[in-house]
Amino acid sequence: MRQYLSKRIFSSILAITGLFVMVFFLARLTGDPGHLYLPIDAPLEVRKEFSEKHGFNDPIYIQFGKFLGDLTDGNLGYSLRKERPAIDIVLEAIPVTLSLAAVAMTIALVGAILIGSLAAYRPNGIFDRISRVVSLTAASAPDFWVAITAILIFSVSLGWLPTSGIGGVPYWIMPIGILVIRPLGLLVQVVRGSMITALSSDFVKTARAKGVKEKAVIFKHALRNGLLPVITVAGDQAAAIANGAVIVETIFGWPGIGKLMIDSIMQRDFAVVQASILITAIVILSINIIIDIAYAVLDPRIRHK
Amino acid sequence: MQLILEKNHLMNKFRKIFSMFMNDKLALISIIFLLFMVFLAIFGPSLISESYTKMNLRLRNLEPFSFDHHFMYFFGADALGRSMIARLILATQNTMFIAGSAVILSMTLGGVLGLISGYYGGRIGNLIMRLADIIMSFPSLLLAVIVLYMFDPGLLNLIIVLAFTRMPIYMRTARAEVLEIRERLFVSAAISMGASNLRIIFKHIAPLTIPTLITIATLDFAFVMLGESALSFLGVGIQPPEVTWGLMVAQGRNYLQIAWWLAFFPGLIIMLVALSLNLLSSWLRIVLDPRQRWRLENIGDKSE
Repeated sequence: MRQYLSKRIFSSILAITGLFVMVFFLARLTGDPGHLYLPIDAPLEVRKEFSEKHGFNDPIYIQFGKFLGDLTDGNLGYSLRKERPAIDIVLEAIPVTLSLAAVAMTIALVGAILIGSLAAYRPNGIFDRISRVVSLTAASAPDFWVAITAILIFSVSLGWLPTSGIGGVPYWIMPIGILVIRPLGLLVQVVRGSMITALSSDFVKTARAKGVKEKAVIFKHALRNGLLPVITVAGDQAAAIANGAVIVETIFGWPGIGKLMIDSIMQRDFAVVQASILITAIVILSINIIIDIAYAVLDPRIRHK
Repeated sequence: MQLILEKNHLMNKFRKIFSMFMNDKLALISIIFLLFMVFLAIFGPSLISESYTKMNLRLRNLEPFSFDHHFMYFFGADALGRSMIARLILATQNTMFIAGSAVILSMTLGGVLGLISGYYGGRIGNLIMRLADIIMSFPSLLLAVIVLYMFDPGLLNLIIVLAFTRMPIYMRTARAEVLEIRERLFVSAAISMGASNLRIIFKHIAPLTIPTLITIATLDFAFVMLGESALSFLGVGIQPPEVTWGLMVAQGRNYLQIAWWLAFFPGLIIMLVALSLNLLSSWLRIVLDPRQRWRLENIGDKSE
């Protein structure tokens, strides 16, 4: 297990490095940030000085070397837009997205386990059919469209919820709701599939034969085994939820990492783009490693290997 | 006699597939809807001729569901008085073309990389799989935004980026299949007869992986379509005057309070197409899985 984990961590670090090098060079191709940050009629000398000061004139590999040097000091560069260290800006945005994602993922998981197990209990029964259509619809919904339709209904027409911004519970309802929809739809399908397999397996027959109560059969015997594939899929959903967060944060004006990244890309704020990518990749890969550990804890066959 | 039997056998096979469709009404509806959409994508724009660019300023933001005007205005008109139906049909062609090309490109590239990785294994195999890890470890939407912002968001770039972000799933699936197929007897036979590696990969192994890859591609079409529309929504997808469903939603967002139908209908179509693809692929999965197929066959067999 320990050997497996260290291998996993090593390959994660490799993946982050690869991603990072790729983004660094790609980001440099977007064009001259001077065009965006200086007035249109800025004289040539001012432009030159601007590029000189921020090191945009150096050949790209020297810029990369400099950047690596700074990285070892824990310095991820300086935001052009906000004139603050990039890492500070990113670290302010991360908790917003994480809390959004954590709440959404918890709701999606709990909901999927309940609905999926009930649907799997009688495959092709009436509840199963309804939940199949509803969950597939949820998995097919374009989140930005659901978001603006929800704003139209609940904010503009009914006036129940605020259109955007952060604050108390009312501000959370729509963003969370929209973030939950697609993972919930996907996870219900996965839970249903693995629960059907678990419920028709021998150990469930044994449990029933020795007179275990039906509730205990489902939630204690079948679910614990049925959950394993669900956990894997939930891990893949970590990156998907980040995708959703980009859309939700942009529409509802949440100052999270998704909105920060979109804004920084649009304004060629290299340092912030790089810092956000690095931190996001680290967070997603750590979540995946934690999920691997959870998997091992739940499955004794892996734990004892 | 032999011939008649064979013909019967073929007829039976068709009947079986047909009855498996009939036993899953939702899959039947989905395939009819999808075929209709494909028909619209191919022939639609030429049927409606020029009316998607024709502006009728008196019909600006015309409300939907009224019979007072030409039926092309049944779903209303946009801010320039263009018929929504005509715009939607034009967007169907663009959306289907982008998503279709991206899926085919991604399936081909991902499939070939997966085949190579699985067949050769070792360092090359690992390197290819690490590439899949890198792509998967990062939100695909952001990666696409970054790339599209750097190279301009033209049609070709959009297709390449969408294909690139969806590649890992084909790489992994193809690799897993090859690892198993590689050990089978006919592969050893081909090796012992002196077939070259390329011949073994593409002539003997690749055909066996194609059904699985196509099942994935059905579902992936929906993901790519949703991805494309999200990119268009963020402003880095296809650019006006070209139009896709996602772009129509984005443009309609500005008129949300005065003309809800501008954003509503294209979004609804995106969802319906994605839903149909989902239903179809879940039907396909059951049909291709011998352990589950009886669920769809049973009812039809009663008559025999």
